[in-house]
Amino acid sequence: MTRTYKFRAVSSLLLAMQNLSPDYQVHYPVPDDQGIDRFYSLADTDEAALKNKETSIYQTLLKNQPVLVPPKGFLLPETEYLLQFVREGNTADVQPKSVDSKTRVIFGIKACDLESFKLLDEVFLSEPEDPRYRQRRDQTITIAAPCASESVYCLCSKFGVDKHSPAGADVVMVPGEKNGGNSETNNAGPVYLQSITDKGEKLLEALYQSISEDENFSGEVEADPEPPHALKVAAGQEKRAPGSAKSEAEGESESEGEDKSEHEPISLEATPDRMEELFEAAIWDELAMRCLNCGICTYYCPTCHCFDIQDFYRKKEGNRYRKWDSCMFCSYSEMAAGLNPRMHKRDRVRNRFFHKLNYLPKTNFVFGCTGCGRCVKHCPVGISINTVLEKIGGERIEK
Amino acid sequence: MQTITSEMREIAKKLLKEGKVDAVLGYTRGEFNTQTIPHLARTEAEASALLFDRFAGKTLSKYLTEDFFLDFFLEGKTVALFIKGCDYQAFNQLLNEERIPRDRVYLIGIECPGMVHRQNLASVLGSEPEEKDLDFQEEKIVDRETGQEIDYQEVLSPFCRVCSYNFPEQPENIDALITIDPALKQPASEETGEDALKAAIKEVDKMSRAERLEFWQHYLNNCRRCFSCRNACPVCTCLKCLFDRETPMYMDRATDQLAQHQFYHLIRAFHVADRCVGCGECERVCPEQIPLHLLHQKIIQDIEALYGHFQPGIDETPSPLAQANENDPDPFEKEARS
Repeated sequence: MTRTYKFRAVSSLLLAMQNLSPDYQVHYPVPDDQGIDRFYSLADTDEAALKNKETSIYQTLLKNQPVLVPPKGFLLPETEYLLQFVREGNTADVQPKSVDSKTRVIFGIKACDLESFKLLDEVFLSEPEDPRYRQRRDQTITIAAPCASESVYCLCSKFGVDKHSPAGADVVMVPGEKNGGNSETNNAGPVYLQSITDKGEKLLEALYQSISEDENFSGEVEADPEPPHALKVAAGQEKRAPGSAKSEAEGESESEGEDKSEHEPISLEATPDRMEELFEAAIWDELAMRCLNCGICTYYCPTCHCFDIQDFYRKKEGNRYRKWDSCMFCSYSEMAAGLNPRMHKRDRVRNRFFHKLNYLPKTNFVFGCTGCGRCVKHCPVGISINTVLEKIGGERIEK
Repeated sequence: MQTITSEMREIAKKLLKEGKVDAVLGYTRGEFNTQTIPHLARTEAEASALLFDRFAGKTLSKYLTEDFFLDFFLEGKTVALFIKGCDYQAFNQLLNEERIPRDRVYLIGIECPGMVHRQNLASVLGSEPEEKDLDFQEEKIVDRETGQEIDYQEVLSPFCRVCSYNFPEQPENIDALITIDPALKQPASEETGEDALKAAIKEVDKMSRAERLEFWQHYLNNCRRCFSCRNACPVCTCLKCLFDRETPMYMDRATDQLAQHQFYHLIRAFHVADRCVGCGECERVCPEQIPLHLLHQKIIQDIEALYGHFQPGIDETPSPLAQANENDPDPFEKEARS
């Protein structure tokens, strides 16, 4: 039985979560000193600082863009130790490193990033299951924030991601109308939460129980308030009302044929096959020519998940660790004898887009893109998933 | 940059039509009007898409050392290349190192007015530039909705502000030159940019060792080593980069090795110290907005203070760092900093 809760302020919600258990690692989104949105750990924020950031956090939750660094790092860390080894004479003592047992709450995750978790689950939880990923995944609770519309970089609707109703969340959260009067929270408002999964329900119930009797939190939470329409939509209980505010940008991107390019847009279903027709086409040379072969697209993509395993050691001790790899790096497919099947940039660029738009859909029935828009915004030479979709959409093959 | 754009297109079409070159490497519009990307035109039709504007930051000469062009040159083909001053300095360094066949390149210089730093523009606007309806006029930026006017000088890249070499000044070495309207030339760097940059660097210099470490850690700990700065850098041209080596692995990614981020940037900064052409690409491409101008320009400043002005790619080699003389300054003796 899912219940709805209303918290007067985001900061009280976050503090309540921290109060719940010292084992909870709560992450919330807020801009850094350069204006870049990031997930910060509540453990690193003291109470006074948190209250000061009230408006900032609230405003970030309202943004129609995800944070800079995709939250895949919570499930597949940038680097993680697997083993520790110490050499003693002719033997080695090898100790596996365990995954920490903390519950991680990702507060304010967006639909596109949540969707990426589905793909990561597909990869890491199918046979053979990755036990470290499994543990982290089970210990992660997601509280999703919907987007009202798409930013100029976003293309989530192209990939079937419903930004108003983030699929796969444990809890959905919607900011409410701004509080008036109080100078501290002048530009911030309450937040409404509704659980979707059992995991989410347990969290919210425990949260409510722990603070409803606590003097410090008196007046901060209300159970079963009248939920705003946006919350019901987010929870999948209602369709979006036809009259509800739609930005122009959203209207454009959701309607067919409004592509900015001269090419006709291609349907998602037709994309994998069209890619195959174009395996030998010149478009890959054209795109690859300007590609820098850096790791921006892969590291900032919420669905990219390639990793490499390496050893770090000095003298008699060391670690074996797993780290993010990038198929754009020249050494990605380099083999022991120095052979490299993807020596040419063109092959690496082509491979990456095939992985996203052909290999994954054909073998795992998911697309390797959730339309988050990070590659659109950050590729230094303007090669994004849009570029490829537009190019393949318009290509005519002479048979 | 209307006149530069039309001249570019005219020159490119003519060269292609007359068969003087097989391709022209310049710039074109990306997905947004704040995104200008490299463009290779092989036909007159493709040449019509060439353009130059305040977002044409990408230095192009390094592309000529990569796969695509290596094959291109082997096939006996020629390419025309549009380059700004900084890029020209990089081009010369590559020539000196025999990485580019000069006779296969038709060089067209562009007098550059300075590039807009996207993050600066975002700060001034208070939002993402791509979400606004901006008119990039010749002398200023106008927000069509609010009427807000922004002078390019306000939002120039910190590197461009102190640029002293904005076009190839060696007419004997280039094949053509496109100049800009004198009204668009940016004011002399000593007046505006130099002081501001010097002041910014001084702020960091004034910090105690502990503060300075904290300052750099604060920014560098966001580094993910995507290597975009290195790959975008026109003078980072080692065939096998130190940081790509795996045997031995000079730099690894073991979890608690956060210092690796710092090592990477410091080592790279020193490796390119006397090659840096101040193009600002490193900072432009960084998704984490690490203030690299405070690092690379600082090193250029130090070289100037110790050895006098050295213009990479223009002044005679070997550079001051690539030679040792009896009278070289000895900073360890003089160092009075705490």
